[in-house]
Amino acid sequence: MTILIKQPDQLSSDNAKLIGLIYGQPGVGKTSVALSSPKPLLIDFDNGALRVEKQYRVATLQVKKYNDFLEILKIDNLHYLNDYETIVIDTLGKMIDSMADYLIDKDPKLKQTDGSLSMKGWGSVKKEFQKLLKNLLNTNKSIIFTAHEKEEKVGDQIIKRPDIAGSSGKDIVKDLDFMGYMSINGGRRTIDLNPNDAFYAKNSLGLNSFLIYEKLQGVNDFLKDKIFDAYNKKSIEDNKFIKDYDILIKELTNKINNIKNLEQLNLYYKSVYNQHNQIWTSHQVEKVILFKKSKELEFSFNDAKKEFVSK
Amino acid sequence: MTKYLITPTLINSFQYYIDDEFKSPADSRADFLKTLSKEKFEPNQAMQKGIDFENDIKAKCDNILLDKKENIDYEVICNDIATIVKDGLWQQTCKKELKIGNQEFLLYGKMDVIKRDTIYDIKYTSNYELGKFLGSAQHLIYLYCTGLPKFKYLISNGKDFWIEDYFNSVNIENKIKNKINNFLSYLENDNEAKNLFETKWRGV
Repeated sequence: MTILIKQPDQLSSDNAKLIGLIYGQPGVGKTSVALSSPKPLLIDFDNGALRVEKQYRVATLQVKKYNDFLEILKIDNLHYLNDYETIVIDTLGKMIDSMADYLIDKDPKLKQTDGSLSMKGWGSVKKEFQKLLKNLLNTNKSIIFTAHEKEEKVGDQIIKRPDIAGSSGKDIVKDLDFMGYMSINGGRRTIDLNPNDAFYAKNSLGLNSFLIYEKLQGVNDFLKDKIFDAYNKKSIEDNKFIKDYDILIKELTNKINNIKNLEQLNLYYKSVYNQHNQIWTSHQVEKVILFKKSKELEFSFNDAKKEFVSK
Repeated sequence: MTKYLITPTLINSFQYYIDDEFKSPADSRADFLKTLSKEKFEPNQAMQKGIDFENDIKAKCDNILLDKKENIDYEVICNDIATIVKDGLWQQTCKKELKIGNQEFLLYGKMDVIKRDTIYDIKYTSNYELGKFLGSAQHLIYLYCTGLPKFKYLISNGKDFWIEDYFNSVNIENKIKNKINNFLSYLENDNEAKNLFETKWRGV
């Protein structure tokens, strides 16, 4: 059996599997944006499928009960997902509600007298949600969640966050590659991946963070183009930098490792040190390796003379 | 010309004091003045937990076994973070001069870990909320000083682990200038703080 361990610069990002969340007010167009991902399957907890313009509707699982969703994630049923690259869950908040109902059906003690979930109930939701996330990740598909927004007061400021009950909001965010806040500004629908004082967002992919969602006229491939393809392209460029960086560090390390005496050490310091075209942290790495070498050879640096001397 | 030193700790301590109006302003003012006076003080329990957490991750990077911890999740999290920062450079300093009007400042910081294109800062907090570090001066100052493209806060409460990502951008200098200007404007109305700043943070 071949074991395929890859170095960072060899990592392939073709058709990267990404996890994202788009949130904003009802009616802003979150579902349509989510469905612009590569080959989407809509898991519709919110009856959102029918609000999407007819020509942009996609294959949909209209969830009546949470169990409907669990069914397709069973190993025996995973082949139903073969034709899709992205699972779109619309909305995350409604999915959590549906999950809570499912758990209460299984164990009515999780419910308080007023019908809401008990503390123990929320603990069960947290566990069930983590189990679901693991199952979703195991499908090897990209996953896009949508969520409504809620406002929270932090000090004097109002900040917008996705409306997800319980601790699931925090649990999901750590797994997200991107989270965008969608709103309408001056008649334009925009998605911002950059967090600021007004709303929370996430951009682990390091992509262009401000996206304008134009009115659809042709193929609905907005997220595919602006996120998925952009990320694949960026990864190729990043890998080139990583390769150049690794080659540079290897060269510097080899040169420094060949230093055997004080004369060579000072020659390196005066004619080579800090002379290369810096890539990221290469100057700091060179400094650490050089001073480690001088210590190994039992020399120290004299600040006044600006050279290494015998101890 | 007199140049003043500016660190993320100073700006964050000021920000915390200003934002803390409704919680325990007396305590946060005391902390703010302690920071301004550059007094050495014993770390409190929360700070000590943060120091221990960072040391445990460093130990994991060096393949040193940790003392037995009560919480299994803690060790898993230390492992996860150590995997990210392993082979990075620890405690590197960064500095860069910045002029606001006619006044010169030296921005200075000590970074937990730098590796390839990323600065990492390890945080231990018992009450994490999404975007907790958005307003921090730390990522702004470190990104500006180093010119590196990425900054990641690696955050844990001992049971769970989150990452907040920030990126270098063209407007980062203005964001830092705004923070420093807010601080300087405030000092105009607080003589005690102003005197401490002018005596303890000048002449670098």
